[in-house]
Formats: sequence, C-alpha cells, structure tokens
Amino acid sequence: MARPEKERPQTLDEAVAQLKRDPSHPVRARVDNLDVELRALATAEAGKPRKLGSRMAALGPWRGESPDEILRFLREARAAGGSAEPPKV
Amino acid sequence: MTYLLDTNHLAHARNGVPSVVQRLDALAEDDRVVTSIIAVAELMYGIEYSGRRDENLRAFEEQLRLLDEVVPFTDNTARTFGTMKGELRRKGKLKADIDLLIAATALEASAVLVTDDEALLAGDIAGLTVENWYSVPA
Repeated sequence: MARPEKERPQTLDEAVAQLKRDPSHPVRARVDNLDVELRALATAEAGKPRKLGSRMAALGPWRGESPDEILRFLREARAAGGSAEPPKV
Repeated sequence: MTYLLDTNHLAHARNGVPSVVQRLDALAEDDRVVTSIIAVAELMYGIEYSGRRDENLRAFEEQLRLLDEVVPFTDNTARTFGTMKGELRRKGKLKADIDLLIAATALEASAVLVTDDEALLAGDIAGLTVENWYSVPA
C-alpha cells in the first residue's frame, strides 16, 4: 500500500534508510518538490554472506590505547553520566 | 532480525574479539546490524581522548559505513526514554542516562540490543531484548 503523502521521506537520507530496512520495496520520496523513487538493484554481492565481523576486524584494532584501556575509559565515561537523585519538586 | 550494537560491541568487533566476530559473521543474509547515534557520540568522545585520534576516526567512519543504519534519536525515542526512566525510578532502579538512551533507540528500531553492559543485561527494561556476544578471549 502506498504511504500517505505526509509520511513519505523528505530527504534522500531518510529514503535510503527506509530502503535499507526493506530492500524488497521501492521507496518514493518527495525531496525539494521533486518526486523520486529509490529501489535496490540485485548485485553480485546479493546472496553472499556479509562476514561483517571479519570486515570490522579487518579495519584493525583501536590504535594508541590497549583494548582494555579504551573500554575502561568508555565504561567510566558512561558511568560518570549516570542518573543522580531527582530534584525535589 | 535487527541487532543494535552497543558501544562496547563496536569496539570488540574492531578489536577482533573472536566471539563477537564469529557471531557477526554468522548472521543471516536478511539480518540487519545497526547502532545508536548515542553509541556514535560515546565513541567520538573516546576518539577525542585517544592519542591517535585521526587514525581511530578514519577507522570508525569505515566501520559505520559497514552498518545498515545509525539509528537516530527522534521525538519518539525521547518519549520512550522518559517513560522508561520513570518506570525504573518507580521500581527504585537508577541507571546511567546513556544506558537508557541506547535502550530507547534499540526499542525504537525494534532491535535486539547487543551489549556487555551489566546494567542493560539486568533484564529489567520492559520490552527490551538483550544479548551479550562477548566472551573473554582465551
């Protein structure tokens, strides 16, 4: 079913994100008063395992700090932004 | 299925932690792998802290391109965050706001949250499915 006009993506980025969520259906968008349609084309990559983990690992480890050091830094930074007691109202 | 990688799992994947790499490699063709804009913010902070900022920034941008989406923080996410925090507060549970912001984006994306953050693995956030793919390398 076609989307109502007001729910159509308004930018190409939104349209691409919607297409990625469901590549089997073309996405119609209205961008700067221009009606466009995006569709995913079958490629040689289709059907191949993405091996996403190997591709991320191939980028190489974090540089400059050890894995333990950067994870500790991120963990501590997250904890430091923690919820305090809410103010009395 | 959509899997939303928390900050720690993005780092584990970069660092080649076998349990995380194998799990990502084994995903089905139609599985989607995303992260939260909040995790991007955290890792950008880590990159600014790093002694090798530019190299880590380049690699991070490459890693983001491998994902299906960076889930944005929307009006709905903001409302989900507030409701979730209020419900937890009524139960006497306090969690870091960033934990709840990431949980809210996972709910927004109808995604399984993949994390090793103990606060998120506690199982006390309504409607949130959580998995931990990290195990300490031998």
